[in-house]
Amino acid sequence: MLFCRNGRGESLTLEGRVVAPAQGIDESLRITVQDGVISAIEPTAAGELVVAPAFVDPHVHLRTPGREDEETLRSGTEAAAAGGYCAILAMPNTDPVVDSASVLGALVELARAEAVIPTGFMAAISRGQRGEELTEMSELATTGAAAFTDDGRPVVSAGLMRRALSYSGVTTRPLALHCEEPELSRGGHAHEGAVSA
Amino acid sequence: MSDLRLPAPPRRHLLSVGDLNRSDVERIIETSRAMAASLDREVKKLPTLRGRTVVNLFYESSTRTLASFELAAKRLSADTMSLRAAGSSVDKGESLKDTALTLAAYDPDVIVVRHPSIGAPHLVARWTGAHVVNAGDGKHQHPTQALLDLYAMEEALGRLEGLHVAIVGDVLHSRVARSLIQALELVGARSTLVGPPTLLPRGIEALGSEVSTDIATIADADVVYVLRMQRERMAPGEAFVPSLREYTALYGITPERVRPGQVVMHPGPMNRGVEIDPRVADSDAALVTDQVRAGLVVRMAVLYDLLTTSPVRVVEPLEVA
Repeated sequence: MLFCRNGRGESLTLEGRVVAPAQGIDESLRITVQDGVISAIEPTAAGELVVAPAFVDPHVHLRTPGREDEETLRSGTEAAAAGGYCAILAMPNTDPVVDSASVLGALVELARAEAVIPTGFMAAISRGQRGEELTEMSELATTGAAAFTDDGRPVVSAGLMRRALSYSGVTTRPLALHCEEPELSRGGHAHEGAVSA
Repeated sequence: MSDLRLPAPPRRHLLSVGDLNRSDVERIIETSRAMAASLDREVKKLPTLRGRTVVNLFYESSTRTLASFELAAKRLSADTMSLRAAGSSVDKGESLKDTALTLAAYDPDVIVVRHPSIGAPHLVARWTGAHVVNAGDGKHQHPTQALLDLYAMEEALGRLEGLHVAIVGDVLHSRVARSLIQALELVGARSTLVGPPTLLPRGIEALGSEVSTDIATIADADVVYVLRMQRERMAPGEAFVPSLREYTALYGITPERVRPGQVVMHPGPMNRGVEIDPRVADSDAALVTDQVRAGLVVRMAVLYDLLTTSPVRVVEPLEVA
C-alpha cells in the first residue's frame, strides 16, 4: 500500500490491480498523478500490487492526552498515513476522557499542529465514560466532536441511553455504541453454546 | 328495590382546563376584571362570600398559589383555612382519603387541592361534597394558573385571539404548560413548545401545539412563556440535560433572544440565570409581577364563579345571525 502525498510539480505513477468498489473498478491499470490530480489512466499487465482509494478509519486510539508515551497525534497519524489512511476518527477513552469542550478544544488545536492527515475526534456520551450523566454534547459538537461514544464501555443505563438518543436531536451528531450487556458477558471470551462447551 | 338513585347534587369543580369552554373562560376573565376594580377601592374586602368556607389542602410547596387562594377567599369575606401536608397528620401516615374526609366533616364549600399525584383533586371531588379546585396535580393540570396567564396576557396585549405563545423549557414536567396549551386553544391563540428534545414529551403535538428544539423559533411569538426546570420531579441523578450551563446556553431567555415588542412571562418561582436572564426578568417586557397580581383576582373570580354561578350551569346564549 502507498499513501500518495505528492505536491505541486511532482508526478507519480501507480500501477497494479486497481480496486475501487464505489466506482465499480477492479482491473489492472496504470495511474499517473500530476500535482495531486489523476492525469492519465491506462490498461497495464496484471501485477502483484493493489491500488485502492485511501482508507478512512473511524475507530483509532491516539492515546492523547494521558499516554503520550504510547502514541501521540503525530505518531498515530503518521502510522495511519503509512498504512494508506487519509482520515481517521480518534476515540475519547483518554486520560482525561474527552468529555468536555476544554479537553476536546485542546486536542483540535494539537491536531492542527501535529496531525499529518485530517483527524477528527469523538467525544464521550457520559462524563468520564461512567454511564451516569450526559456530557455537554451541544458544546462538544460546536467544538468539533464528530460523533459521541463511550468507546469500549457500553452505556448500561437504558434511561441515559434514551436521553442520549433524544438529545442528539440537538447536536445532530451520531452516537457510536459498544453493544454489550456486562451483566451477561461477565468477562467471557466466546459465545455460550456448543462451541464453548 | 329500585336502582334509581337521586342525581348527584349539581355542583361544579375546576379540575382541568378541559372542564371549561370558551364562554366559561371569558366569563371568568370578565369577573376577574370586576374583582381587579374592587381592589382599587380603599376597603378591599367584598362581602360576597360571607359565611362560606374555603379550605386549602396543599401536599406540595407553594408560595403564590397558596397565598393568593387564601387572600382571594379573605377578600371575598369567606373563612379560610390552609393545611399543608408537612406538619399535619399526613406526617403520621394519614391517607389522602382520610384527610379529605376529615376536612369534609367540617363542611367546607370549597377545597383547593395541590398534590404531587395526578388525579388527586379528582378523588377529593369524588369523596367530598365540596367544590374542588385543582391547584396543581403532578405534571397534569393547574387550571387557575392558565386562567391567570390568559388574564395577564389580555391585560398586557389587549387580545387573546390570534396570539402566538412560545412556551420554552421543561414542558415534560410542567402542569402549567399542559393547562396553558389547552387554554390558549380555547381562546383561539396558538402555542409553540420549545426546548431540548429530552424535555418535550413525546406526542405533545396531540394537544395542538407546534414543537421545536430551536430557540430561534421564539422570534415569531408575541409572548415568550418561560418554564422552570422542575428538578423536584426528576429522580436523583436523573439529568434531562447535560448541565444547567448547557441548558442556559441553548435555551436561556437572554435580552439578545427577546425581540422588541415581545412580552415575557414566567409562572414562578424563577431560577434567575438558568431559564431566564435577570436582565429579562427585571425588564419592562416581563409580566411576572402582573401574573402574580392576576393570580389574586382570577382566584377571586374562580371562587366567586364556583359558589355563585353554581349549581346551575350558565346556559349559552343563542347566537343570532
